Amino acid sequence: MRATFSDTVTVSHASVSEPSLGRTMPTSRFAADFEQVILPHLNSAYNLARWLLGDDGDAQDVVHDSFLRAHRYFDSFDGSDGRAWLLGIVRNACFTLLRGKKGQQSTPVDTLDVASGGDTSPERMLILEEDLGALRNCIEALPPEYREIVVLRELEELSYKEISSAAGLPPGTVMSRLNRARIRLETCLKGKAKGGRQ
Amino acid sequence: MTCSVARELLGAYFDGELDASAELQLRLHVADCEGCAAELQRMQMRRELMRGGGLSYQAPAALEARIRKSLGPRRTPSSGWRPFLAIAAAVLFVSVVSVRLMQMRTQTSDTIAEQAVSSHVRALMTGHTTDIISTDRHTVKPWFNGRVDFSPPVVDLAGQGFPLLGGRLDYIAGRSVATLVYGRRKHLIDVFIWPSTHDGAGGTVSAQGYNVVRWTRGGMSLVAVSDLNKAELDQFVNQLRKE
Repeated sequence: MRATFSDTVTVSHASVSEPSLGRTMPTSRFAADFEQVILPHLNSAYNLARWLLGDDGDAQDVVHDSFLRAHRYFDSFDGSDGRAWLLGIVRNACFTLLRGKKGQQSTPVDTLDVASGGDTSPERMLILEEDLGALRNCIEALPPEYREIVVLRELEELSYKEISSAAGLPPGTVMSRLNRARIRLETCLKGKAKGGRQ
Repeated sequence: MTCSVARELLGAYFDGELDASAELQLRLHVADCEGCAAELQRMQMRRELMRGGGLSYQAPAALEARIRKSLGPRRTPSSGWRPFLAIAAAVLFVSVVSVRLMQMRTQTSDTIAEQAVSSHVRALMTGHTTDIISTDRHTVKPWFNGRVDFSPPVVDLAGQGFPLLGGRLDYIAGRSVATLVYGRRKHLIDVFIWPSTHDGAGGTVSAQGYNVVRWTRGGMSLVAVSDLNKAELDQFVNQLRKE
């Protein structure tokens, strides 16, 4: 299917357009800049969309539309971090699509109950030997807001500041949400390890 | 720091996102807490698995083609300009990289100076300036045995107007260091010492109103920090280097 999202979706940090250098450039420079600053992040954009949407076709559609959107709003890009800016657009598009699909099912994740993750028993350490498959399943099982932050931090290796900019979260929330996501991930992996041995 | 507080911060510590003072506290806690150390190790192993590449999705080649097609024909600069643009880009790249490297160098040495000043200030604020109080270098030097994994050079400069007051342990540049405490009138001088093969990065800087002098000698890095004026601190360092 073709993913669509309305034009009212906010472009992450589109408003922070300082009168910075090089934004008032001739069209050819604009094209060259977009080529150099935004296009190289295609893999990051696709990876995030693929993880959030769980479907190759949806991910391709959303990334395609996000690049068109990024191109259209490139004037408002503040020139600092092209990847975080692009990923902001992609994640907004993904969440718009997810909300549309599941009918506002999204729960404010920072209030979700989480099990304590203080356990470092030898049993827990065994999880280290778990294969990639269990890890993949457990990341897929995370709520999208947690999955997003794990993908941005662990797979895309964004700093907290970059995550804060891409996901539009306060830096403190980045830290606490990442903590919760990691605890959930461990709990899931621990459950899988137990289940596997029984 | 309690273990539950440490657990809250452990992820940010692992990600290198804590400020210097919280990072120091975490480092000290983890050194003493087996549970937290194991948790850190687990995080590291988990990360290696995650970043091994097996989990990331690559964009299909067709997607890039589709995007490029939708964006319209590529507008590239006319070919007459290309060689100049290439040269300009190369020059810019080299300058940016040089500036970055210079910044990195300065940052590294600044960090040491800042850490030394922080340790000095922290000791003054808590009133805990010495772990061992002694003006006798034959008492101070052996005190470090078993507390740090090297033997710091300890000299007394009482004859030159800088009496040795004692010693303590600190944590700088990611390791335990020996700190010698000297006096000058009502001023305290901290000398931080640790083994280092890295020489250079010497000299005097001032940070937060404190003077900081760095030098290396006999395989040791030394950093002197004090609110003493620059001339007297230099005099002190010169005396210390003579011994």
